[in-house]
Amino acid sequence: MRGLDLDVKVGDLYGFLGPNGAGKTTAIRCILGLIRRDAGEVEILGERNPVRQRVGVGSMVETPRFHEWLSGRANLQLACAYAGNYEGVEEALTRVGLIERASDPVRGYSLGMKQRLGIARALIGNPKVLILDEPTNGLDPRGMREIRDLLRELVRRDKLTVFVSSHLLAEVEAMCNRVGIIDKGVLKAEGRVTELLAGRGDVLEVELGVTDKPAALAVIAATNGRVKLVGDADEGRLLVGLSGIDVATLNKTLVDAGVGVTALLSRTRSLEDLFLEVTSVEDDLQRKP
Amino acid sequence: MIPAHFPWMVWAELRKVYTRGSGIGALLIAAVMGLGAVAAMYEAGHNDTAQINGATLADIVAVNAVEVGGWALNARNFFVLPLFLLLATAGTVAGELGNRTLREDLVRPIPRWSALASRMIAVSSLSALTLLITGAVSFLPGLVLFGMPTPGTGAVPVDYPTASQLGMGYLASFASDVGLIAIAVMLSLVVRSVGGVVVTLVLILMADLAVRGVLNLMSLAQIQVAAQLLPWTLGNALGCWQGWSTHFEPMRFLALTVVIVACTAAATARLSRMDVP
Repeated sequence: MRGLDLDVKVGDLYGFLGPNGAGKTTAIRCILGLIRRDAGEVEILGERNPVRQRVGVGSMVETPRFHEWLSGRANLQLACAYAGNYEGVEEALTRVGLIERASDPVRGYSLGMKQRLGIARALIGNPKVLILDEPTNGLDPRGMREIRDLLRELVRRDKLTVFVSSHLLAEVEAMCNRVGIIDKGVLKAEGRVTELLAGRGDVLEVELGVTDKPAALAVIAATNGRVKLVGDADEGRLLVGLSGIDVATLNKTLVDAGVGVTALLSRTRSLEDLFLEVTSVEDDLQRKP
Repeated sequence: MIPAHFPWMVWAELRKVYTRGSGIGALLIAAVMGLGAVAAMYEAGHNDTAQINGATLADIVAVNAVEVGGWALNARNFFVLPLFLLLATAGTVAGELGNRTLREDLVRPIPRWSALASRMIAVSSLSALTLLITGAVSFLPGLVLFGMPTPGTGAVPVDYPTASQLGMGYLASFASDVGLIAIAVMLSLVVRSVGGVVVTLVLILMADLAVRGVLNLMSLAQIQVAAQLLPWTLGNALGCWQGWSTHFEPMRFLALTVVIVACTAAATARLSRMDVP
């Protein structure tokens, strides 16, 4: 990792995205003190001491591992002993929907159940911050939705800050209010999802359908760079970027110049568009043997 | 700084150690060793057919509670139970490092050394409990069946070991077990697999045996330094309990202390610096 500077604010449900091998898990292990850093600092809730900063942190790194011969409940009780907090086992089991199987040995759990138990274990110790690495791995669509709802509830009702790494872009887009995208150990983009998806900086991309393309291009050229031609969109429409001018003003300018406007659509990017834009597919392919 | 919840961490490790196969196996073997010693002594004490140099086994063998406790101790310390203790230690450190459950403890607000200390305490308690079981199930039935040693018992007049000497033997065995545990913990952090720890320790002890053989030969050749080095070999340090019925060698205990301190310090330093998978 190089110059990775993550800014997770209190109350965020922060999505940490990146291609395979980008360094997501390494970053999380670094944050949790499992691997040594060459340089840099981790500050959690204002605490920089590597032991004390984990007091308010619950975590799940990669596939959660358990003492398989013990029950789910016993595994959480062991976690309680290490967290220094002996309450919340039953509540955590209830929240992840495992209370009825809590007395069964973990060796009989499915992958999805183990994932839920891992989240329950992260909730042990009344954490203020949850750090979860791919929490919906191995879950069916219903399970994914339940975990998504649970994480939202933890942020909304319990005022937790949740940091989630995932490669499921739609999942993160639906769940998180802020995201960071990492590639090759470097943070490529970070910010509120709505702002990142609206466009880069102040530029808003718009699909423009007109009755007279040459006349429209002349109007665009006369805007002194406030409207820039980005390319062609579907159905013969133009793709333009607006900077310092809003959609209504563009519409009026075109109409005043005698250009009929047949379509004027703000282009909403998906997180997938943004992800592909800021991460290099070629490099990702080269990385694979 | 010791975490305030350190006793609970120890409790968690105890729960793991005593529910693992190696822990349960060690307790069972400890009981079998004790009862086996009682059965063997009962058989020997009543055996009028087997003879050695014209004397029956019943006449040769000193039959009393202390002796049966000593037999049980010798049997308990011979290979099988130390192997189970080794497996229990390696399982709780190398095993958990390999299957990544140690990671789940280390992401909690604790210094790394405390995770190691809680594990060592838990496995040491297993050693103590096995000694207690072996001692109890051999000595107490022995007391009922054979009684305490009295002068004149047996054909050969000897100074019988006393109950306090036997107790010291059990205590020395505990010290020896702690040495074995410290070595296993250190190896666990280097080798990172249960099987690897067992194989590595066996190889080390075989090398130690060869070194002891050479030193013994050198001692016979009146090379003074060899005799001085002998108590410092690993095998002799771990075998410090062996002099319980006659006299202990203080140098062996000193060597064992060095082994325990060095291995614990090395293991703590290693864990504090290593990247945890």
